[in-house]
Amino acid sequence: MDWGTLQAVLGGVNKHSTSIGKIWLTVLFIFRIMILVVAAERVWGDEQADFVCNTLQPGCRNVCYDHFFPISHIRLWALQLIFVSTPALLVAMHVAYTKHEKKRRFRNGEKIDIEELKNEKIHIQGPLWWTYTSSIFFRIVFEAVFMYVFYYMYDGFQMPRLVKCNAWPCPNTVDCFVSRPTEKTTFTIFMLAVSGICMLLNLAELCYLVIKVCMKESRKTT
Amino acid sequence: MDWGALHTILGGVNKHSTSIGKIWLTVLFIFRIMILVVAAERVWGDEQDDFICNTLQPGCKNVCYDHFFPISHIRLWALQLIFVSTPALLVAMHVAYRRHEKKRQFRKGDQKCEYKDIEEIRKQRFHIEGSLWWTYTSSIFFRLVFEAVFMYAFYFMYDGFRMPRLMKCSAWPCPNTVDCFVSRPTEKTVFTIFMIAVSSICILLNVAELCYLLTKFFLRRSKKAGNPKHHPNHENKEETKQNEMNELISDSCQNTVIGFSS
Repeated sequence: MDWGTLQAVLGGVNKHSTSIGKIWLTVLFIFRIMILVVAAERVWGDEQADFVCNTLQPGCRNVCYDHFFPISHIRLWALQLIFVSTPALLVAMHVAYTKHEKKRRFRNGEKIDIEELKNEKIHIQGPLWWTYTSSIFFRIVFEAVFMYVFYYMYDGFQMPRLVKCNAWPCPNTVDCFVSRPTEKTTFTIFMLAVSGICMLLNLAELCYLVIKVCMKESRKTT
Repeated sequence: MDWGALHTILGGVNKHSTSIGKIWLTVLFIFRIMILVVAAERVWGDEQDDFICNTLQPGCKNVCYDHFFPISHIRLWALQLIFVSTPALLVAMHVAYRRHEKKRQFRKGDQKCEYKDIEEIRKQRFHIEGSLWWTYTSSIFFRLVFEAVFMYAFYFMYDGFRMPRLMKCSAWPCPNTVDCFVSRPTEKTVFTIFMIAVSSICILLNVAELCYLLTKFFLRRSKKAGNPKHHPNHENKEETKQNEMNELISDSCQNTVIGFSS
């Protein structure tokens, strides 16, 4: 079970999304997951091995690393991407349930082409609209929560070159140097920017769905 | 999600590209992405481990490495390849949208021939005309812009394309000036020059494709201006095509309904 499997699972959801939803999914896979796998994981690969402290005291380096990096950026991004992708599964489940119900109804009643039913695109109306809209809402919430967690945990989005550590067993205050801080800052800002773009896409999709429903309601009343 | 998945996604775009576009895609995958994965990543694999500074001062090596290599070549190339590949997705989205529209139109039309039509629509190759021409041309334009931007970023960040053997570093906490030695500088220079060369070839291919599309566009326009009888209006052309297709379908419909009578 890896990112490729997630892509396979979410690829099916793509069929029933709006155009903005499809763009969001493409941005997620190419500019976030792919960048994470292909580039960011290498940058953070040696984060503890090359975290160097100016001391000979055994254990000081471990303690300082743990103090300044409670959860590594890479792990936070992986969690963020999984949580953000998961609401789309609600939609997939709802669509599967609708199709299952239709198949059951038609098996009881008249015979109809099952192949057609499999390929049919279900429109975003009624209860599916509520499922779809809540999935977008949850996506936005998860994105915002993770962005805030990042900001809170690392006091901003810049990776410092030097961190001063005085946790036991380090003697007094010790200078510790982070590995590749500039490259890490660049990738953090890049992932943040793409996260922001994804949030905007989700907001746009939410507005689009709400406007669509309001227009349909006004057409019904007139 | 890795380079293989990108290859799958872009493979679909290949069908609707020009010949030059297909050559560009092949050069991209074989001479850039494959070289990156198979060779360049190994060369840069030990870049920080074997970056050695002539000092015992802890932290000096980290700081000097970070000062001279703000973003590693490998990461810059990975970003460049992703950004350069992505405009092709605009074309893929446009083609998918057109297919979707055609499917919708045929579904509204004759119900019995639906299955046969959709297969035809799926296999149909769209010619680069009308709005698709604009999408395709803008995608080539963006590709060129991204290539140029990244090549400039490389040149600016590393003061040229050569990897020096020795760097003199005086960033804190290094005492005074310290000599730092880069790992595999010659091999890195060779690969940097190779990637720059292939990048330039890709830029030339894109420029050639752009010229080809523009030339095709102007030739078509001059033909239309020269023959005013043959529907100069773009919309009429679409309607004529639609009518032809409808006639073909109604003929084939009659055959399928009546059966193949001798």
